[in-house]
Order: sequence, then structure tokens, then C-alpha cells
Amino acid sequence: MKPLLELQGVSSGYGRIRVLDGVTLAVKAGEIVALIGANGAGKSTLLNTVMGMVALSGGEIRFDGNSIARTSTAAIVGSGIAQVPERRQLFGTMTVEENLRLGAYTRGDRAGVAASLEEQFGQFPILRERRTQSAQTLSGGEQQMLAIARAMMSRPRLMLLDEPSLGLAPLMVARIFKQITSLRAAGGTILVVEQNARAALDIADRGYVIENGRITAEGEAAALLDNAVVQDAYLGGSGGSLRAMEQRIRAKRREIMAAMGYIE
Amino acid sequence: MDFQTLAQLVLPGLTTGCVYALIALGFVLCFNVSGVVNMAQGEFVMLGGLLGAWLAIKGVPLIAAVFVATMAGALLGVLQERLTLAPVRRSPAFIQITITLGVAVIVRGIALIQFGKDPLAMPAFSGDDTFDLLSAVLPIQTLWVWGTTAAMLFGIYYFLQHTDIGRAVRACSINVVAARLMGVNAERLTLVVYAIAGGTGALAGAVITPVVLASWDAGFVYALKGFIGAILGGLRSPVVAVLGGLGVGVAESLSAGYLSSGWKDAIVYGLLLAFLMIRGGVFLYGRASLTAGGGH
Amino acid sequence: MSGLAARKTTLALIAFVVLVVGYPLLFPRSYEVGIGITAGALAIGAVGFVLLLGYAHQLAAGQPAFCMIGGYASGILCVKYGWDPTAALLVGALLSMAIAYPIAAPMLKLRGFVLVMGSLAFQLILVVVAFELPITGGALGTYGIPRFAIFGLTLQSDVAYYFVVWAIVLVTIAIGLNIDRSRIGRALKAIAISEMTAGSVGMNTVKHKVQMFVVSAGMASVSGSLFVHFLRAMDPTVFGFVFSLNLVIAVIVGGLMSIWGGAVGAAIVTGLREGLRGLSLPMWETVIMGALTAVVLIAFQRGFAGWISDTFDRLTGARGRKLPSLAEPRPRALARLPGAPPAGTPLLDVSNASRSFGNLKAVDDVSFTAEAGSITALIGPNGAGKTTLFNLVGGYQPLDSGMVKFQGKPIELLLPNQIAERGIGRTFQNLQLFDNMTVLENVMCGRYRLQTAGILAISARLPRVWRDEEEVRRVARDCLNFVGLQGAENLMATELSFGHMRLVEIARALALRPTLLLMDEPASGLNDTETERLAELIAQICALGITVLLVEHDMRVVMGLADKVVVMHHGKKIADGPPDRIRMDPAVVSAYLGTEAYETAA
Repeated sequence: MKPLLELQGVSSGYGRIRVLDGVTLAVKAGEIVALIGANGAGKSTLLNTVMGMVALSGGEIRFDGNSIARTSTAAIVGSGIAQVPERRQLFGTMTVEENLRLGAYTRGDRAGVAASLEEQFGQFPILRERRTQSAQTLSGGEQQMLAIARAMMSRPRLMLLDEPSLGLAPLMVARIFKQITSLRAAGGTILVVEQNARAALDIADRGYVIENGRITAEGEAAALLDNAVVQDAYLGGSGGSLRAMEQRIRAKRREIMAAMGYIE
Repeated sequence: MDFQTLAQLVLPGLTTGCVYALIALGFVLCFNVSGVVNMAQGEFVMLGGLLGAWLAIKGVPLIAAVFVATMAGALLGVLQERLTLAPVRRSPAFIQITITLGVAVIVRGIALIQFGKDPLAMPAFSGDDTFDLLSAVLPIQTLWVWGTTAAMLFGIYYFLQHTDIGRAVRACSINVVAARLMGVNAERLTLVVYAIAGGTGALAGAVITPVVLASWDAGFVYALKGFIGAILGGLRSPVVAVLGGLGVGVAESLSAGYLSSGWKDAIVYGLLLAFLMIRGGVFLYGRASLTAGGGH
Repeated sequence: MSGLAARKTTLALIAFVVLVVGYPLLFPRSYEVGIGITAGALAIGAVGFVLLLGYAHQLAAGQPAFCMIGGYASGILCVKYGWDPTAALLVGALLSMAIAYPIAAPMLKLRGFVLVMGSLAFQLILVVVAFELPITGGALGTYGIPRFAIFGLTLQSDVAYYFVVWAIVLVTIAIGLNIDRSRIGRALKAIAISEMTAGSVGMNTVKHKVQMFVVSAGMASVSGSLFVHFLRAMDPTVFGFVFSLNLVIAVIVGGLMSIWGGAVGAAIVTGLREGLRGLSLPMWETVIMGALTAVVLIAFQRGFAGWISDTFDRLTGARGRKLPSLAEPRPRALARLPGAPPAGTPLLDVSNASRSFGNLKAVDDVSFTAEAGSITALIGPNGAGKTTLFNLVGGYQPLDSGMVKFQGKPIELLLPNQIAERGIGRTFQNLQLFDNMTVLENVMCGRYRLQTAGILAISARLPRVWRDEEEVRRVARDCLNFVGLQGAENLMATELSFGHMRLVEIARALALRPTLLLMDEPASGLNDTETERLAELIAQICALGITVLLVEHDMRVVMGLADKVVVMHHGKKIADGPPDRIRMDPAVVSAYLGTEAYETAA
């Protein structure tokens, strides 16, 4: 089956800084794919590149077979991709309802938008309770729910979630991730980017590990969970590539200190 | 001071205050969406008044003259944004402000060439009668000014609070990155806001002209007074800006009444200067706002 | 200054003299000499305005207020009290500067647009005052102002006055150039790019903005005085709106950041005005002026002088220089830090630091110590609070509670530039170089806190000032050699690759002669080779006796370099110790890899 989202050899960055370096990954319809890696590895940049917020310097991105590499963000949202940004990025001084309506900005059908609003309130009853409160008065978990509901308002075929666990207490994280699985159950496709590898791999079908802008591992989520490669990616543990440079750096430092007359 | 004198000063002050209030609102809207203090804000008002008066003198029916003047203001706002601000969006703020100064000067200069040095008068919309309110005598045109101002304020309020586009404009002012992720085209919305600022300014200028006459060099002083209202709200709050603009009108009228007309301007500007110097705390680059680098 | 800049200045000086002397020879008629005089007087005000608008980025649109003060001072003192014109001019200038200072200080603390309106308000108030007060002669003004005289020697001919005016222009330009090429000039250019970054090398941004406002006011006053001695009369409308405009446009057309541009722009604007009058199109003057302003700022911000400078560069092939490949760093280029505290003693002591944003506890009762001569790394997952903690140490955020001690003294209440003054330098994650300066100048900025010359010494370019500059240049070169950027000193900072720009930032921080160096994700954006070289460089820096505290995500660097690793999670410190112990700590592993999603599901 052709993947819903396909990245091939994607390179991108900010100005002179190259963040992503030849990234290839795919998300098939109906699955949850987790992209995990340490901070600074390029996870958010990848999502922003898909959304057209960061310019592509190489490679190709296809959504449902069509290239979206040089499309405007507005058009990408219109074609069915929605992002739940890192740290929510809600419109703090606007009400819950206004935030939700903004999620539906690209839709023209008033009746449909009203129906979607009801649907989201059904999914997240706490939002209905707080519908006239300003978004910044909500708790962290409620804000995350609002951010997800807001993205759902555009009736996307693909949801991109950027670090949904950020800033949330463990209990809230569990609840949010449960919510994400119910999105899949309803027929959605999700690419979730996370630093919290275990939470993400727990609910995902497949996963990718990204380090320094490159994909270093991929596979079934359950298999990745136990993989030492993942631990390496975060803490430079027993695995191969990270350790080599680390060793060299240590040796060099010792050499310099010795040259200065220090005793190790 | 007796009540009648007070009323006779305050109420006309409110009338000119309406123009300042709309200019203040224009400042706030443009600043919120583009980060630029538009020095040409007063020129929209001047143009609306002068163009409306000129058309009326040529025999064009008043309604049409006012309509054309309003549209001209909106068009000017659009042109300003497209031609002079869009190309330099990434330049530092002071350069963008200086460019708006250049635009203000161009508009003034063209007004001088086209409409001449002398102020133009416009017939009052419903005749030259007066009416009594709170023991003050006011021209009927006052009601037109109050009415159209109220209508414009309500219209802008409704637009911002209850329409999709208006909501998107507010979203851009709060968090433009998130707005883009919603599919909002921030550039197009900036254009809309400048059109609104231009159109409302021009309409205000047109309705006040029967009372104060329109002159090619009036724009700058209008802008300065409207700015006072805007700055009282920190250039962020539309409500405070509007109230501030009304307040400036009243303060100016009271100063003219109780002190010599020459000193009235000095008082108003002096208040602005004092406010800016004292209330620095609102805008101070305090330590709390200086965060280096990205997130966590 | 570099050879290229010196050559350009000499050429500019020659051109200046030739044009100034040549003009009255070619255009000897009284009317034409008069134009030359007004152009010169405008040029003085314009050069001052360049310092204010171009360097300090303050659109003080009401600056002609000070021309008014100068004009009235000269007018009133000469006509009513019979003073010598030169004395009156100097008094006017001093008066203007004395008034400028208390106005500037509060307003310059605020955002730019505030000064625009504030100074306009000030000018308009002065106009009203001039109309109303009897001493100024009200609407009619003061007339019968005598010709200019230099301490008793009256200048009877216009030509003589013309030369005196342009001689003063040259003095003004000299002052402007002296300021440009000093620590104050660098500070202004730095502030224009980023006040925060300027603060990180110890620069006092408000002080220099105020200085430029005052200097500019003085120059505007001199300009005003010279004008009225030519016009022989002064009234409230002389320095009105049109004059303000001419001043702004002269600066923009001439070139915002160019001292010479002020004079060039003044000449162009005056010539243009006269030309339009000659063509009987005076009404078009404002339209063309406005259009010029907008067009120049949109299309060519460096103005006329910038264009000339660029053309010169192109003709002499100064552009298109090859970028240096990364040379070998020379670790011996810098000496060990004099007076470095003994290794192992606590240098930075953070005790119970807390900081909340709303109900989010970004930093929650965190304590740790960085020992002198060591490398300490601060790590933690995204959202852990590392950057907030880093900002607390650097003075960019206030603490809610707790203490930060540096060398035993509390620093938690200090502003960033004060912290830099204590010898704490920093680098930034997203690179904060000063785009408008060369590599060498960027590094020289780092030396700011150790330079002491004040505005007066700098304006007069006293010998000790240029000796100090030579010394700073030498130190900056040493820092560049240390990081391996020997050949790059005259390139603009933006011409380098990202990795090289990182090195410039480090060199700049080293120029500060820091005891403690704070590095915010220095490996961010670097490729593998660059990362490894960076690690080696940090080791070399530590060997100089400089203590390093870094926030970093790249574990190869952290685990390879650090003596101590401090781990944060959800705002709290969860571990503290040597790298190998930390990476095995189950709390750390769990913090990074996360907890299972269904562990605590309701």
C-alpha cells in the first residue's frame, strides 16, 4: 500500500544551519508512527518541514502521492495535514471555542464546522465546560487536549504531533497518549515526534530513531523498545558510533591536560 | 467654571476626540499585526476630508463624495502596505517606521499639489442647524460624527470578535507562527488591516470636515494626537486607545477654553512627553523579558 | 584600522577638500555660495543625526528642536546682549546638550517608536514656546542677527563664512569617525543588532544611546546657530517640519551608517531642493523627498555613500575574497588566565534556585557547584529547565528564590552586562554575532569591559585612545589565532560558514578574559568534524584556567568532556556526578527514555 506521507532524502535547515540530512521515512494510512530522538536531533524541524514552515534544501515530500515540497503552509493544511505544535502554541488570550474555530480556518462549510465543534466537545468534555474561558487559564493537560482538538477541527487525514508529553505530569502523559490511540481507532493517521521514547513506542505501530539529523534505526515499535540503539541515541551508552567520538574527545582532553602539566 | 461652559467645551472635544480615537485604533491595529507604527495614519484622515470636500465642491452628491473618500483611504492603506512595507518586512523596525514617514510626506505633498494650500470646506450633511444637549449648543453634524464613529467602532469590534477573518487577525497578533499552522495567510491579513485602518481614517476625516475644515497639512498633528491615545494602551489595547483618543480631544478642548489657544497644543504634547518619560516601566526591557536562545 | 578603511578615508578626505574648495570657484555668485553655506550647515546637523539615527537607531524626528535652541541662543545673545557669535554658538551648544540629557535618559530606555513621538512632541512644544514668549520675539522672531565672527573677527564675505562652515563640517566628521572607530562605535553597532548580545559582552546600551542623543543635540545646535548667522533672522518656522524632513532624508540618502554620508546627503538634498526651485516645481519638493526616503530605504539602505564604497570595493577587487579553510588552532596564542582561582575550589555556586512561570515550576530548588578549572555540563530532556537555569546564572532571568554566587559573591541580582563585567562570558545557541561588523571587530567587542576610554577622549582621539585600540586589536587577533581563524579577520561576520561563525563567537567570549565561560549548546548545528574540533577547543580553553559551564544535547561532547554532569528533569536536579556514573543512573535513563504510557493509566 502506498504510504500516506513519504519523505525521501529530505534535507533542510535554517539559513546556513543544516538540521536534517537525507531523511527517509514513510507513514501508512491508519498507523501511528513514532519519531524519537534526543533534543536537537531534528524532530521538530522535520515536522515543520512537512508543514512547509521550513524550506527544503533537498529531497522530496509526498502526501498521498502528491508532492508538497514547495507548497504553502495554508495549502498543506487545506490538503489534510494538521500539526499540534511543540508546547501547544495556543492563542492564550482567546477562548477555548475561538481556538477551536481557528483550527477550522481553512474550511468553508459553517454547518460542518459547527458539527466538528460538537464532535470535539464530545471527545473532550472538559473543553465544553471551559469553552468560554481563555486558553491560558487551562491546565497543562487541558491545553494539550485543546491543541489536539484544535488540530482535529480541520478534519485532517494526517496529524503531526510535536512532543505532546512536554511539560506534562506522568499521569497526564498517559491520558494524552491514550487519546492519541483513540484517534487511530477512529481512522486517523498519526506521526508523533517524541523525546519520551517509551511512551511513544508503547502506542506506535512503527518507529524511527533520529540522531543529528539522520535516521539511525527503524522498525516495529515493540522491537525498538528494547533496542540498545535507542538508549545509545540518548545517552551514548554501549552502542557503536556515538561512543567512538566520545572516546576520542576524552583522550584528547587527557592529552591536553598532560601537556599543561596536570596529573590525571 | 459653570456647567454650561464645561459642556460647551467637553462635547465638541468629544467630537474631535472621535477622530483621534479612530486614528488611535488604526495605530493599534496596524501595530498588532505588522509591528510597525504607521506614521501615515493621520494622512488617511486628511485625505478623506480633503478629497470628500473637493468632490462635494465639484458638485458630487455628498454620499458619493464620502464613499469615494472612504474607498480612497482604504486603497491608500493597501498601496502603502503592498508597495512600501511588504518589501521590507525583515528590516529593523526603525527603518520601517521611517518609510511610513516617507509615505506620509508623499501623501501630504500630493495633497498640496492637487488640492492647493487653502483649507477646503464641506457642507454639513444635514444642514447647518444646531441642537441643544446638556445646555451646550452643537451643530447637527456632531451627530453624524458621533454616529459614524460609533458605527465604525462597532463594525471593527464585530469584525474582530465574530468573523473568521477578524479572529484570524487577532490570532496573528498573538502568535503568528501558530496562526500559520492553522492555514492563515498572515500577509493577506496585514493587507486587510491596513485597508481597514485607511478606510476608517478617511471616513472619519470626511465626516469631521464640515466642522473643522480640511487642510493638506493637518495629517501630522492628527497622527500625533491619535498616537497619544494609542500609547496609553501600550499600543496593544484597542479599547484603551479609543478611550485615550477621546480623552485627548476633551483635554485639548478644555485647554483651549481655559488657556490661550496657542498653549493648548503645548499642554497636550507636554502631557504626552511627561507620560512617556514617567511611565517607562510599561515598556522597559526588564530582565524578565530577556531570555537567550531557544526553549529548554 | 585596516588598510582598506584607511585608504578609503584618505580618498574621501581628498575628495572632500577638492569639492569644497572647488565649489565656490565654479559657482562664485552670491546666491550659489549661499546655497553652499546652507548645505554645510545642514551637513553638520546631518552628521550628528547619522550618529543618532544610523548608529543608535533612534528616529528622533524632533531633533530640529535643538537647531531651534541653537538658533535662538545665537539670535538672542547676539542681538539683545551683544555677545560674540562664537561664544553664543558654544553656549547654545552646551545648553542644547544640557537639555538633551534629562530628556533622553528616560525615553531611551523605551522602545524605539516612543522616542519618535516624544521628540516630535518636544519640538512642537518648543515651537509653541517660541511663539508665545516675548524674549524670542514671538511670531516675528529675532532679526538683525549679525554676521558670524570668530572671537571678534567678523567674516565680512560669504565666501569666508562658507569656508568656516565647511571647516566645522570637517571637524564634525572627524568626531563622528573617531566615535565610529572606537569601543563606543562598536557598542552602537552591536546594540543595533541585538541589545541582549551587546549586554552579554558588558555593553551599557542605554548610556551610549543617551550619549549619541546628546552629541547629536550639540551638533544640531551648532548647525542651527550657523544657519541663523547666514539668514540673519530667526523665527519659529525656520526649523519646522520641512527642515526635519530634510535632515532625515539627508541622512537616508547619504547612507544611514555613514559619517561621510551625512555630508554627502546634505549636499544632495540641498542641491535637489534648489534644482526643483529652479525648475519652478517647489510644490513637488515634499513629494520627491518622501519618495526618495521610501525608495532608498526599500531598495538601497546603504545610501549614496554606501554605493560609492561598494563601487570602490568592486573596482579594487576587495570583494570576492576566498573564505579561509579552517586553519590549525594555535593553543599557545593565548596565555593562561592571570589570577585564575586554584583548581577545585568552588567558582560558581547555585543554591536552591527556583523560578516559576505562572504555575509552571521551570526551575525547582536546584543546587549545584562548578569547580574552578573544570568543565561542568548541564543536561536533561526537553522541557527540563536547563535553559532557564542557564539564563538565571547569566542574569537574563530573575530568580524567584535562591542564590547564585560567583567567586563567593552573590550575582543573582545583576544585569547581564554587569555579569559580563565580573568576568563571565557566554556564547549563544542560535549564534548572536554582529552582522554589521567584521570578524575582527566582533571579537574586539568582547574586549569592551576592559576598555575605559570615555566619549570625550574618544571624540578628540587622544593618543591613549588609539594606543588602547591597537592593544585591543592585538588581543582580538590572538583570540582568533587561538580558535584557528587566522585569515578571516577582515571578512564580514556573515561571510563565514556556520561552524566558523561559532568559532568567532567563542573568540569574542575569550576576548572578555572570562574566568567562567557559559556555553549554550555550542555543538548545535555543527557537523561531526566540527563537533570534534569544538570539543578539543573547549578542552584547550579549560587548560587556560577558564572554567566552563555548558548546556548541551550532544552526548558525545558531554560524556567526552565533562568532569561533572548535572542532570535536570521537570525542573529538578535528579543527578550530579561524573559522566560514567550518570549514564548508568536509572533515574537519568528513565528521565531520558521516558516512562511507559500505560504505567499510570487510570
